[in-house]
Amino acid sequence: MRAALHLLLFLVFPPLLMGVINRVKAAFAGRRGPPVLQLYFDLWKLLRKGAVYSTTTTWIFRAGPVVSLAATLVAGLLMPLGGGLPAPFAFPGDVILFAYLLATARFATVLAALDTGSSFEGMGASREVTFSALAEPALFLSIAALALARQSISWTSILSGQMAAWHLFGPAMAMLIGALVLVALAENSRIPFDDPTTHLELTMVHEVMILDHSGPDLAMILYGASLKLFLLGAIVVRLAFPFEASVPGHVALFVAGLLVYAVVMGVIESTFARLRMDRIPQILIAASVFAALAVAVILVRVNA
Amino acid sequence: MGAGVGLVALSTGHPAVAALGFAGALLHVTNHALFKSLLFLAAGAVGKASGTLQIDRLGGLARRMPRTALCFTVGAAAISGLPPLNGFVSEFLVYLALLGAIVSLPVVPQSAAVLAFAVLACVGGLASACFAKATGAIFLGARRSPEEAVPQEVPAEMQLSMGVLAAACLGIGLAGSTLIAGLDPVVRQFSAVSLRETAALGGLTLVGALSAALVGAAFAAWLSVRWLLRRRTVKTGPTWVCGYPAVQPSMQTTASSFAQPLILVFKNILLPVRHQSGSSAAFPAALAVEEHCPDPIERFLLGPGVTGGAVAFSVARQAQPKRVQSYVLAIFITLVGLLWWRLG
Repeated sequence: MRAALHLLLFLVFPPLLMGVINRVKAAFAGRRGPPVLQLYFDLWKLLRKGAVYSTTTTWIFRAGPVVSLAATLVAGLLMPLGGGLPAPFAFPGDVILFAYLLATARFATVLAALDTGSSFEGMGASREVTFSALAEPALFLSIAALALARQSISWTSILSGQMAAWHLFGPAMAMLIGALVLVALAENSRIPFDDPTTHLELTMVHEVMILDHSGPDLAMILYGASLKLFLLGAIVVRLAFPFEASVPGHVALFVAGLLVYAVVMGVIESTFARLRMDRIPQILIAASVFAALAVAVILVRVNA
Repeated sequence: MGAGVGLVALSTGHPAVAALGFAGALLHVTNHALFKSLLFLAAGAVGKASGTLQIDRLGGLARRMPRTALCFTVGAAAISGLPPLNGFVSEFLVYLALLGAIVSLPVVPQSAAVLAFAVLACVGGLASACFAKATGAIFLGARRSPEEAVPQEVPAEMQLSMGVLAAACLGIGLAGSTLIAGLDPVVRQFSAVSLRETAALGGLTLVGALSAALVGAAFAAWLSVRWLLRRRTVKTGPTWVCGYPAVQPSMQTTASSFAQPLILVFKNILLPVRHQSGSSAAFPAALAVEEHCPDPIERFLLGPGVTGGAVAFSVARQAQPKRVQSYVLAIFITLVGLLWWRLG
């Protein structure tokens, strides 16, 4: 039952987050903005369209969106949604499999971008691998800190009973939220790391790589991107809202938390400008430093 | 790294963590034998088919050599430690050992394990960047040197040998837990704890199952795209480059340009060397820029060491005596010296 609810929430809810973010950005710009359900309409439209493939591309281009979406879907099976819905699969070390499934998704997207032979998409791919190589230590240091704090190495048990962790290591948890929000912004190519508004002039990383995808392929990429936003958000939301409740209470808390997360993302995107490319590594290293400080705080408390 | 954490865990009395570390190290050596051979065979196939091994002269080989491209991609993903392939299984064990060390060891090795954990993550990211670069520059996009002979797919025997290795990479990725059960007696030699007593085996079974789910889901998504597009217009056209008409294959992202942002980030470690000739004013008539990254260890450690050694030896050679009598004298003096050192 809870597993079914988990799957339902994981498969259906994510595109809504994009809608909320876009509405918040529109509100800041003084516009009304697209409907909150816009991404659902877009996905439906794209799924009914034909496709255009470049003559340069091979099967690797077609495999990119497919592998990328499949890897993100499997990663979702490892992530508990709030305190009420444990992950359908939980085992010691699933934190590692989760991170590496996202890496597989990225690898497939990057290869598909390189397969077009376009210098523009190659540039996006090159930036994607650079920034993700720098975001990886921040994510893994956060995982190490959480594992230390909860003495456990599986998402479901790490993210349960967060109240105790806040009582023991409050400042460290706050820093971890900071680090993970930065990782989420970078991994999802949002402002200040990248501007997802356009495909060309403003955009520098993720949207660049998917310029040649169309029809159902593009639908899978857009859906996969919203799933990734949702999954990294699920960690942040559970850390930021560590309260205990009954199962329906937990689900409500989690959904409300995700909406707050989307609004915060929208506010960040509206109040910051995209950073210059050479500043991005510094911010990502700052995220690693946050996470490393959190590890240090927890290490001292645990061994005291 | 796996063996290292194994030794540390053993010396601090955590044999279960040690078993994971040693198992990871052993399995990673096995896996390296598979995917490195696969990558070398594929590189050999590329060299045979195209007559060059310079990455920046290749490109677009996947259209001509789809099977070799598939095998190389599998090898590249495996060496980057990505699921569902074998590289992930062994890296997973090493990560499990490190996490075990982070959770249960005393504070000094604990902090070292946190550092190693973050470094391994960054190295994983860099490895996947590097092999995405290699795969992209060799096999993807358009051919960079169209004037050369059109490469053809290599003979069936070469394809077979690569295919077997690629299948082994996938097989270990999906069924790592059975292989690890086979490694168990060796691991027990090191750590006196069976892997069955650690949590790794159950985890590995699930890793295998979820990797299979990944393969299955990707295949299902592939089929559904085929099904969705079956009666629709599927057009082909040139790659969209924002309306620019005069595209040349040489304008593609090369291996060097792909690596450029990473080199910029690590420029204080890699110390790239730049040669520029011609002016960089607004409208230069001729401009040549060359940049390369010599290995800093070779440049600052091995290089001076070898040159210094060569100078020292050539000085010693000048002093070399030319007559037999002086050789005998040198031997005698050495003998006396040795006797004095041992007996005196």
